[in-house]
Amino acid sequence: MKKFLTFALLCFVGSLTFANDHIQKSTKQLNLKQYSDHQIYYDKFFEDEFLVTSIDLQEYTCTAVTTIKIYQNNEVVHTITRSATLSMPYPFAVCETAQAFAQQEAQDAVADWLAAQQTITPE
Amino acid sequence: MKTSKPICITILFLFFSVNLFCQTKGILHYKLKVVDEIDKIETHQNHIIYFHNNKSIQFTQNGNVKESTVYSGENNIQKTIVVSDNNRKSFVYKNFDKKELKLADFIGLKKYLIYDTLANFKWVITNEKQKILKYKCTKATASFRGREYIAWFTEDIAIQNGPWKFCGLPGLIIKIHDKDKFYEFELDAIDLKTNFDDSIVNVPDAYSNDQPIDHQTFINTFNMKVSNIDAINRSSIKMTKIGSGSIISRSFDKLPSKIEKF
Repeated sequence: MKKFLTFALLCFVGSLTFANDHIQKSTKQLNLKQYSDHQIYYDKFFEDEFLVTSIDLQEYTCTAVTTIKIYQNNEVVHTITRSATLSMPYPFAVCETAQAFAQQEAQDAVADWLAAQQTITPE
Repeated sequence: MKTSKPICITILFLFFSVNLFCQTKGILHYKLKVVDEIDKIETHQNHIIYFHNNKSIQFTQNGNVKESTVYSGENNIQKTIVVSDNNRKSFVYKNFDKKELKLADFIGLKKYLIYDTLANFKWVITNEKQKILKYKCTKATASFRGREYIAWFTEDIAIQNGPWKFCGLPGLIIKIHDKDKFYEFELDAIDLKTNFDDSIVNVPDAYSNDQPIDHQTFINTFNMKVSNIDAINRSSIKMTKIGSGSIISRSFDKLPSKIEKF
């Protein structure tokens, strides 16, 4: 009976150790995967120069709006607004990137609008 | 015979008065304040009206809006782009003898030649008086194509005219605005001693090949464009992946509203 109890206790401790190891390993794999994702992002934007020192799982969001009013003879003839909401799991450059995106989209839309207007011939 | 003498004098007086009115020639300067119905931003325009022999033509004066970029709020950017005029300026032409109203209005950069009627307004003249500039003015109201207007006119100046399509009051309109004050014209200056080429008071040559459309056709075209833009805006939401983040972008394009709603 005493031997059986000792064997059962050893099995229990062993299973706990295995479970703990497994959890730690999974977490490590998860973190490595997240790190890898971040590294890809930073590599793309900062050409390998950015060093990831910590991983923050909080999501950061920023909304930027660019409005372009097109005037002719002091009269507003068209208004173009582009909004960009950027969400990512780290704070760096969130608003700057959103602003740049919204501005670029608005400028492209103005160019398209003006090109479309030029194809209209006076009646 | 005794009673016919005063009548003859009255008729002669009226004849000379009408003749004097017909000979009137001059320039009116109006300021127009437009408030955007959505963002409440004010735009100011200067308008000039040349009138001669029961005809008048109004133009928007050259713009003073400059290209600019303004940061309003932390992440909001307001930009202004100015597109040069292609010599087809907007105008409003009135011929009171022929009861004719022609104008050029725009949708985007495209200008349309439109004909309308001078008998647009059913004015209600009130007893309310006010001194505006140096003129004794009377208040009149009218409902016109979706807006309620309040006009202040003076009988001191015997020109039955006003800015844009407004006319038909027994004197010059000094100030006029809609009830919500989205559009407000006010007389800025009047010059009766000016000399200009009379031929300017005609539909500009740049529109001589245009086929005029009626007001309803113009407004239908405008409303159709607004609907198209609204549909594009509704379907404009798109998502772009950036690394492990994402950008959701939206479009809100808008045509400026017109003084007339329909």
